[in-house]
Amino acid sequence: MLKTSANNGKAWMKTAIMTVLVLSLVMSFCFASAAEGEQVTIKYAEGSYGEYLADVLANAAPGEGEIVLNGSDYIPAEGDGHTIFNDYEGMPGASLLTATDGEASWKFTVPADGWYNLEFVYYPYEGTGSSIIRSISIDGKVPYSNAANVTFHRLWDDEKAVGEALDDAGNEVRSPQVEVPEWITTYARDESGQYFEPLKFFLTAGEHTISLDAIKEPMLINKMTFKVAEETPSYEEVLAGWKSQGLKEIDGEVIKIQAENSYRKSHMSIYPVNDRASGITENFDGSGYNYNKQTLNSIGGDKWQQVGQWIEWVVDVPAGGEGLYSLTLRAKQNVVDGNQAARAVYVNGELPYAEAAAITFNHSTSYKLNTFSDAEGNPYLFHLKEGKNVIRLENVIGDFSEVVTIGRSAVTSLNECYLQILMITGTSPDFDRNYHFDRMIPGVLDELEYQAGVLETLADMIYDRIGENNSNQSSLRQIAQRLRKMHDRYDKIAEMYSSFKSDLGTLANMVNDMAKQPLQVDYLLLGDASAETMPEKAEAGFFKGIWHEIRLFISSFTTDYTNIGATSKSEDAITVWYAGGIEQCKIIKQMATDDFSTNYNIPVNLQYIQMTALLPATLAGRSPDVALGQAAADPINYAMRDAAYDLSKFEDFEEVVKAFPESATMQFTYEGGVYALPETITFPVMFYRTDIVSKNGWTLPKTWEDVYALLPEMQKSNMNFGYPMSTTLDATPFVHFLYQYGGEVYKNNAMESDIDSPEGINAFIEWTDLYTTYQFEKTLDFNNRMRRGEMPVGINDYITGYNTLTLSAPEIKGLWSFTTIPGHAQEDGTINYTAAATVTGCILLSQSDNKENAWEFMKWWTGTEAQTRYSTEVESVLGAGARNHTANLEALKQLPWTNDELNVILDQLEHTKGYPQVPGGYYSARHIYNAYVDVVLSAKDQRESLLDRVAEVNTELYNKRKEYGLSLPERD
Amino acid sequence: MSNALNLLGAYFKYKFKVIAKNRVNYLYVAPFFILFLIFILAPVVAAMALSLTHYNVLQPPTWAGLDNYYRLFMEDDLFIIAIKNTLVFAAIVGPGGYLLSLIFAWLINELPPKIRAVFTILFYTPSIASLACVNVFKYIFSGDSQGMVNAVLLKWGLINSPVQFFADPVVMPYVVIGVILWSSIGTGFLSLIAGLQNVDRSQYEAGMVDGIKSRWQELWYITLPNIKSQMLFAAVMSITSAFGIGVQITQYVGFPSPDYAMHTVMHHMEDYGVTRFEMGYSLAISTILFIAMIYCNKGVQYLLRRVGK
Repeated sequence: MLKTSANNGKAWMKTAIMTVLVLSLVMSFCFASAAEGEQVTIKYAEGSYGEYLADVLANAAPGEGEIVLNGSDYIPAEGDGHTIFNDYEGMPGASLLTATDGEASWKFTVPADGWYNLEFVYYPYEGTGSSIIRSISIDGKVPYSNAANVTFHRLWDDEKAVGEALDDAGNEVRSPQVEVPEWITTYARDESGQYFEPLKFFLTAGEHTISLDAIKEPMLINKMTFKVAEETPSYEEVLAGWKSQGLKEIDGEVIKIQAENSYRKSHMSIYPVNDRASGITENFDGSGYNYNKQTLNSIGGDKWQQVGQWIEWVVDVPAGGEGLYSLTLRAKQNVVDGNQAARAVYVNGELPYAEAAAITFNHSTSYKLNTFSDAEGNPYLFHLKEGKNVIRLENVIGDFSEVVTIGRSAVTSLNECYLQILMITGTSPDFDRNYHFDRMIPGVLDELEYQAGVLETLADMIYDRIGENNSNQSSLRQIAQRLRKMHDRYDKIAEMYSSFKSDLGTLANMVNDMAKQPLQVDYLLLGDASAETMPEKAEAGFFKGIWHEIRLFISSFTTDYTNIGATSKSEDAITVWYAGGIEQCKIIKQMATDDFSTNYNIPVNLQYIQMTALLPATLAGRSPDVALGQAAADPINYAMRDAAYDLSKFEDFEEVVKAFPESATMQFTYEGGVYALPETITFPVMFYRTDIVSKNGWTLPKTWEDVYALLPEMQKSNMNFGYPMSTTLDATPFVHFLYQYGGEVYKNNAMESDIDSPEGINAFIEWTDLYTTYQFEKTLDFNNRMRRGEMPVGINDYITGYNTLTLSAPEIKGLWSFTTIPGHAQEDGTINYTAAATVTGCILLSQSDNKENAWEFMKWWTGTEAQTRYSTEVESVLGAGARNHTANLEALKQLPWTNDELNVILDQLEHTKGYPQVPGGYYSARHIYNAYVDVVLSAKDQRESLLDRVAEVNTELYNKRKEYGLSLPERD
Repeated sequence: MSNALNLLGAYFKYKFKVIAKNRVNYLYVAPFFILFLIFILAPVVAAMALSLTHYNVLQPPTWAGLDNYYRLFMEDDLFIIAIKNTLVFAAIVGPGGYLLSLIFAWLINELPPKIRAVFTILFYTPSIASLACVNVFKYIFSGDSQGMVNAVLLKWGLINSPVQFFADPVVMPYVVIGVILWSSIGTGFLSLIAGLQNVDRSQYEAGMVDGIKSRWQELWYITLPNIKSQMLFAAVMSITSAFGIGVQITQYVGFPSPDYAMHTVMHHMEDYGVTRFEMGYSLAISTILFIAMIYCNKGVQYLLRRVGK
């Protein structure tokens, strides 16, 4: 016993020393350059699982036995919000429901040193519908970054099977998704998919604490078990085992399963889709292409590309049909060029043998019949028993996991090099200057050389895997060449800087694409791969293909694209106009049909129409009843001319508007009436790059004073603070300052402009000073600057910023965050960080004959339930980057924000004020901008410019009020 | 009195008789005439009539007399700016675009047919793909310090901070006029090329015999008179489009333009019609613009009549 502990101590020392060594290596950028052809040593990001495996686990032995932690044995804390359930949903004993935020910890004792996998028995308790994420820490420390977001899936199913979910025109539509929760047993696995095996945790003998920190969603835990996962046997062993049981290969029989008839799915964003590209894609019932109606004839595609997502199908094996089946898919990977898609096959919840962990599909624009087989072309077999079997295909990175791992670490390292160079040269380097990079940053130069070798190795590795040359490999080699040139001719780095910048983007996108595994599946075939009933060709012949295109073209003339679904002639029917995206429109239509019309018995005719048509239509007396998605100024414009109906006349109006923030509804208020219900609201938050901020030891600015103090620091490193531009139509960048100074846009019952008040003038002076004194950029693409680290901190609209960065900046995933905007310190010591909010809403047209019904629709549409469902469905259809910024507060809380994000959003939302809309109000924005032009571009006096412009605004307000016979201010 | 009425009656009777006699001819022009009436004449007359009213689009118009015109000429300072901008614009882009079309057409005409076809497409592309061009130019002249022109100027040390090409009221007109001039080679150019193709070759030989001394004389005395009608067409096209320029400017500098530096009559119309819903006033502006265009075209026709003389 004594001996073992001594050994342990030594091992710890060893690892500690190793870690310190590795860290110091990383810090000082001293890397040995890899010579041509030599195998590269993968350099893992600091604190990554790769590093953990290589250092901590390199010499660790597998643990012994099982350590079981019952959910209910957690260490309770005051007000932690966790609940204990007994005998829940068929699981005997107590289980712990961990809340959507906060921590839950367990104490346990480990008998001997060793690594363990961690198995969970959990129930996806109802939450907002996104996957459950927990950060696992042991003894208060997250062992590696991959343990910080361990993901647990929910179970989803189509509410209505394909063929049953129809719109009223008879087209098959995406069915609403429902959760079909049950108890799930799974190991904690790597969310990024780089490691297929369950995560390992090294534990020393003795007492430890494990904590689960909630990132998203509630999770019901029955128990967690530390144990070593069983190794998956090889195909040979398994096959021999089956053969010895007397199981036989199926002969001549084939079972066909239409892929759209799925059983369960890991994400609600995976759903049957319409495939128009191939004329022989089969419908859910096996019938051929339907040119009259839209059918959902396949599943997957770019909706099924994230690692870890899976789909299950049920295979009904007829009596006496038990045996060994081969697996064939009619599928295509036509999304990511130059890459594979890989799937792991699970039969009845188990990975049958190691080879099934990655079946691969090469890129192809057309369907292929892909039989899962070994190198010699012998199909791999799966054991299916009689009756119901469940086949699951899970997205894995497969062969590419090493490539992706190395690629990701290359992107991280090169990004760091980029930032180091940026800090020396600035964004537009001087070509003629010798920056002496060899003396300033020798480490970076060596790193460039080293990474050049890494990229070349990567290109070779890709070639080995897909067996052909493609554009990815050649661009990798080109980038490597340029990196090497940067190393050799370091005096020319300035000139190569901009191509380096674009190379980084290319590389990041490439690596990101490699991790994607899109696959569209028409059907699955199980049985005898050489049976006569097997389809011969995966695609229609040439002439058949052309005929398909022609028929598609002809059918496009008879399709009505304006009316989504069929039109109801009923007297009660209301007409609703929508002008956003077609996908969104389809979702609204479906919701209106299966929820609103069913529950309220009011048919809705939803029309997809350009909003510029609203005015002429109203003029011609043919306006719709409700128009959705109106910009803030429109409702007032219609209201002034009696074309919009005052919603506050409805009895339950007061009750309804409670759902929205004050700052949203006030923008639709005109002369005491309210003319629209808010649909969306957005406002600025402060985005920042966590890596750059922490590396430079900056504290995030709380006030503008802090910003001005931080600026020299940032500008010294050739970085800048981002602030949104204003235009002749949008004055909000100024209004944030105005509100923080306590000013108002209008005074005297909106009859006169109030920006000439002392607060207004001060705000204007500070705002224009940003550009004259502090050298803020007057025109900028903030998201791109942020992505490249040139503007590590800046203010941006919360929803655009979040969506754009999520969608188009994969290389800085997890390296950015946002918080409330800087404010101005008040006399009482608090900070006023008010921001101006922008809204859109829906209006009820005065011409409507069905006002009561239209009002019911508006209440339903802006209500919590509809907004939540709409937001979730839009995100599941359009994917990440389509988060909706609903104005309904309760619905906003239901969206899959992480707890931290939601807190910031709600905090900032509480500190927003609307930008009032008044008759003639367009003149305010216009002249605030003109005053800005005077000061910033023409160098005129700040106060004078503003006052001149305010006079013009007041004249316009006066004229407009006069035109509409409103009360007028005293004029001299 | 009754005598006069009788006379008038007789006159109309006579006219109807003539019309009845030539009814087949009238039948021939009827399709055009009806379409012209419905789609051109009626809207113009309606616009002129509505320009005498206060009309906010959504509520019925009320009679205003000459109020709108009075306001336009006496009170509206912005209208004067708009007229100034429009005239400057029309004076540069109209004739400028026209001359460019003519010069390029003439030059391209000298090329062998296949190459000519290629060049024709190249020169005509900007006016078809103007939307794509907008983005290209916006990128080139971006006010961002990383915009193409700004980056180069900054690198050469010619400027210290990025020029706001599409926001600075001083720089903006030059950039916008230049960019729009480039994309103004349009339909007129095509018709000129077609015209040049149809010039009878034997006329040049005859001219040579008659003592044409230079290419210049050849152009002035033979080529241009031959393509007069195409020139007229091109001129009308470019003048009217120069007056009607508004959307293109908006694409670059936004609407309204910063400090009204690029505010044209079209913008003024849009401002009143769309932003403020003062349709009567907006139509008064359009009536003035309409009359101005007619006179300009008359002037151009007069000038073109002098070609070759």
